[in-house]
Parts: sequence; C-alpha cells; structure tokens
Amino acid sequence: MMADTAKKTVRIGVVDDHDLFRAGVISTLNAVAPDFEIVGQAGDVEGAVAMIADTQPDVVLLDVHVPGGEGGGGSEIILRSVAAAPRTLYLALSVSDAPVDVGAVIRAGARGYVTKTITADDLVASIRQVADGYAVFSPKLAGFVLNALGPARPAAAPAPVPTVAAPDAAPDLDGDLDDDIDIDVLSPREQEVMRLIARGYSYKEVAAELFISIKTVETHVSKVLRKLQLSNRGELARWAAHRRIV
Amino acid sequence: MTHTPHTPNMPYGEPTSDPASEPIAGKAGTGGDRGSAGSAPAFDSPLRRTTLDSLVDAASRAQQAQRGRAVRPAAAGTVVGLVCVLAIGLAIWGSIMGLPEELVLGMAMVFVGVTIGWTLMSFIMDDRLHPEVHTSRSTFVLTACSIGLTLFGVLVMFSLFSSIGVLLIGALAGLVMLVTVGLIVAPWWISLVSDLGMQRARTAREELRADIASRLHDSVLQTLALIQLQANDPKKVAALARSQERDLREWLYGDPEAVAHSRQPGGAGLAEDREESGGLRSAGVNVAESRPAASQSGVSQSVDPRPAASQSAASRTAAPSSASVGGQTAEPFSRVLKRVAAQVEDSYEQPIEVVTVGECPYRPDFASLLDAAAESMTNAAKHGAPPIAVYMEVSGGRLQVFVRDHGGGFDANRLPAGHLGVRESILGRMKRAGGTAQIVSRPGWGTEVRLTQPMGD
Repeated sequence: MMADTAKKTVRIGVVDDHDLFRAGVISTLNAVAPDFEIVGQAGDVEGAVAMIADTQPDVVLLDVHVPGGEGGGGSEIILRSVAAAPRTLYLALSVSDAPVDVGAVIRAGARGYVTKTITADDLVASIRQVADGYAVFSPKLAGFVLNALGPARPAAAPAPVPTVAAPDAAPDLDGDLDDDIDIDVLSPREQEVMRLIARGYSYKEVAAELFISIKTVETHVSKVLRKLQLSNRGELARWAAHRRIV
Repeated sequence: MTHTPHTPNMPYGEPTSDPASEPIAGKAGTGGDRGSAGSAPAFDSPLRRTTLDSLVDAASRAQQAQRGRAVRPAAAGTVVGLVCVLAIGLAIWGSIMGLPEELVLGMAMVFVGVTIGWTLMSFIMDDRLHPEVHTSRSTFVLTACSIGLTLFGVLVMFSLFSSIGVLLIGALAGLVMLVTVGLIVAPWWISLVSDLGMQRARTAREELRADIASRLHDSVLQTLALIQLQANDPKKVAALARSQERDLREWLYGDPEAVAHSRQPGGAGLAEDREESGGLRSAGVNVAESRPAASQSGVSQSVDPRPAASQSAASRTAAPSSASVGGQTAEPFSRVLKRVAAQVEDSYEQPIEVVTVGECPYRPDFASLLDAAAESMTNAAKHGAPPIAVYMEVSGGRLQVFVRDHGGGFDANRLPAGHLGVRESILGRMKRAGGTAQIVSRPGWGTEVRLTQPMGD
C-alpha cells in the first residue's frame, strides 16, 4: 500500500493564513516526501476556493481558521469547493483545540484533524493516509468521538435532551432519533478502536492488539468518521458547547 | 529529538530514589488519609474562626443585605415617615409663629415633595446596585407624586396672594417655560448621557486591556525572555514553548477556573526550570564531549530532583483539590490529571498528550491513582520516548488512566527485587487503594501502564 502511493505523486494544496507557517509546511513536505507535489497555496477563503477549483489537488492541508468569505474558515472552504473539486480530500491542520472548530471542519467533510505541533513524519504519514481514502484520527479526535458518541455520552448530558425539545417538536425529533439510531452510537468494536487510538496506539498497534488487519482498523475508523459527520447534530453541538477536547 | 541522554532499556525507577519516596507515602497511609489531613488546616473550618471574624462577617452580611433590593421599600418608607414628621413639626412651628396657614401648608408640601424626590435620587444614582430602578414603575409613580405634591404646595403657598384663576394661568406659563427650557437644554443632557455611556465602555475596555496585558506580561513575555536566554538549547526552548502554549490555550479555550488553578503551579514550575537550567546546559555540554558520560550525568541528574518533584507534585495537587472537596465544589478529575501531566511535562521536557473521556469530581480516595499516574508519566518521560499519551476514562462505575510511551520497553516480569519504583509506587499503591494496575511493556513497542479504580458509588 505504501509502495503504491509512493509511485504516484500526491498533489497537495496548502491553505493557511500564516505565510511563515505555510512556507514551513511546504519546505518540510518537499524535504521529507519527494513524491508530494505542492500544486497550490492560499491564505484566505476566496483564494483557497479558487485554488482548489483550479488545481484539483488530491489532498488539501486546511487550517481551521482562515480569514475571508463569510467567516466560516476551513469548513466554508470545504463546503464551497465540493462542487468544483469533488475528488479533493481535506486534512484539517489546526492550532485550535476548541471543539466547535474541530467539529465544524470534520462535519464539513475533512478526513481528519491533526495539530500544528505534529512532527514532519507524522504529517506525511497522515497525508498519505488521507490520500489513500482513510481517515486520520489523532488521540484527541478519538477522545472527541468517544465523548460525543461513546460510552461517556449518557453521563455527559442525559436529561437535557428530552426537556429541551418543545412538545410540538417532539415527534419530529423522535423521527430523527429513529433514523440516526445506529449513527449516533459506536459499535463495541469501534469503541475499542477509538479507545486504543485515544490511548496513543498507532493503527498498526491497534490492529495487533485486536488481532485484526490494518485495513480493518482503517475501515472502522472511516466508519466512525462517517458517523461523526452524520450523527445527530444537536447532540454533538450541545456537547461541543459544554466541553473542550483538550 | 536525537538528544536522548538516558538509555532506553533502563528499568523503571532507580533503587536510589524510591526508598526515599516510599516511606513517606507509607507513613501517610493511603492517599485518602493524606488528602483529608491536608484539607483541615488549609481551609476555614468553623473551629478556627474567631468571634471577631464572625462579627465582621455578620456586619458585612447586613450591609450586603441593606444593599439588596428587598430592603429598599422599607428604607424609603422610613425616610418618608421621618420627612412627614418633620413637615408636621414645621407646620406646627409655623402656626405657633402665626404665619398664614396657606403658607405653612404649602411649605410643608413642598418640603415633603422635594424630600421624596431626593430620596429617590440616591437610588437612581446607585444604578449599579439597582439597575431596575430606572425602569421600575414604583419609581415613576413616586417621582410623579413628589412633583405633583410640590407643585400643589407651591400653588397653595401662592394662593395667599392671588385668586385660583390667575394662579392657574401663571402655573401654565411656568409649565411652558419649563418645557421650552428643557428643550433647549436637551442636547446638553443627551450628550452628557452618551458621554457617560462611552466613558463606561472605555473603562471596561481599558480594564480588559490591562487584564490581557498583565496576562501577556506574566506569561508570554517571560517565556519569550527565557527562550532568548536559552536559545542554544533546543530541547529547553521546545519545553518552554510547549508549557506556554498549554497555558495560553487553557486561557483561550479553557474555563477561567482552571486557569486560576493552574497558574500557580505553572509559575512555580517555571521558577524551577530557571533554577535547573544551568545544570541542564552543562549536561548538554557533556553530550557534546562524550556520549557515555553525558548519559550518565543525564540519568543521575534526573534521579536527584525526582523524589522531591514527584512528592511535591502530589502534595501540590492534593492540597487545592482536597480543599475544594471540603468546599463543596470538587475539581474535575481530568483537570487535576492534566495539571499533574503538565508538571511532569515541565520537569522532564517531554510533551505529554492528555485525552479525557467522561468526567468525575476529584475525591481524596483518588489520590493513589493520581500518584500512580504521576509516577507512570514520570517514568514514561524519563525512560520512554515520545509520543507519550495519557488517556483517562470514566465509565461503568470505574475510573481508568492509561499512560503509554513509545520507548524501548522492558520485561516487567524480570524486574529485580530491589527495584521498588514500579512494584511499589504503582502496583502496590493501586493495590492498597483497592484498584488494579497492569504494566505492559514489550521491547520495541514501548510501555503502557493501565490503572483502574472502582468509583464505589
């Protein structure tokens, strides 16, 4: 799998409003991964949308906080670029720990989220993972998911959900819950995978620990990402508003 | 990253360090004992309060209550009553002196009306305490009453000199004059009011700015200065930057309470860093000279401060948290754990990532778990290699903490008997506290310490 991606070049776009940081990422990637090709860069929402539509990169490294547009930052870029560049994948590169930011960009369609303090090798590995179509879960993101959809969720906010809903809105909400019933909850296996990732295990180590293949781990992770993107919005937003992922 | 002074295969815990730290823990019994003992003198127990204290308290409480709006109508009533008595006294005095009764009655009315107006004034001026006064109906009614009474009093006074018809026309003329004067003065009044609003906003802004400035001065500027001083030590610079990042992040995204808690230990850690930095730099010089010597000095150096550091870490975190348990607002366990991780991070200059799932308030009987976790983190930072991950989960009636590093690992079953580090400070400690500890370590994989504590309720 590694060999496959090494052969074809991965075309990368970098979006970040800090020029220095952008230059640093680009020079790091050029130095560490010769098969990466930086096809474009941008520092604001409009520029990023134009750049992505123009160059159709495989992977876009996306800062969560980007000025311009309607103030939506990274998630706005993703949402506005989907039509013009449907094959482009996004990896959020964030300095913010605020769950609102991370949640928003993941929900908009980013395939993962890493912090800006990540090492060069890890960044390259994460980009490759995204380019291969898999999700990138840092321990923090795994913790975010476990908090939002995992075992701790009932303890976090059990009562407010029914009381918040107005009586007339109740049937609608019930319908939503029925639809999302398996989207809002992680399967036991997915929980195990998430927990191990949160404990600092690499995908390879998770696979060895659970006696499954790396491919299976990646499939689980991708499924979890999908659940995160589709799950009951109100619940997640409420959780995000009350907690931080740190 | 290439600078690793310690040998990765070194078993956890040195024999020199742990006998020193263990008897202290043993003497204190379980961590729970220590926690509760620490809480008694630290916080204001009722026994320690003097009579004077309670008197002062009572007085300030009474003052507080007086300012409360519940007392306001009563106070106003008292004032009005007093004024009425005064007015009646005035009236009696006037009639004794033989003044015309219209004049006496009118003067009394004017007196009462004006006094009511001024009484209200004191509440209106105090609008920070009673913001509702400006809009409350009773204020308007009272003001209208006092104006009406005063005007009526004036009319009564002047009825001595002229007939009612003439008086009414005169009153009308006076009213028109008042309105026109009011219209002329209005622009000044409006600008005064808006000036006041702007002044307030500016004060608020300045206070905020001063707050931010002092914050930046205390943290970011200090760190930048430290970084400049240590520019030749990349590891130190990274550690400083990371500690500052953590601090700032907590301030930006965290809850304000946590910052207040974390600032004090953070500052202490910085001071320690400064003290330690000289020695560390010399160790760095050793690295350049000869590799084995450097690793030796690196290990021996980190052995020495460790018992003190880990003990103080435990006591430092135990004190505020157990105290806050006594004060009803227990600190969340995740916050305590993060603080411990931050201290280890600062002491050993290794990044530690903490992920928490679920939450429970800190209790004194978690002290053993916390100490064991601190010990595990210290070991991971000293002997393991990054990434170091700490994971906490509260679910199913138990509290779990995992500490994982990616170092060389070791064989947990073949620990020499003398190595009390792991066996006593982690396994024994958890066993005594009714929890379990498991240490998984494989060569080339790293080490994971798994700590579990039943929550009991």
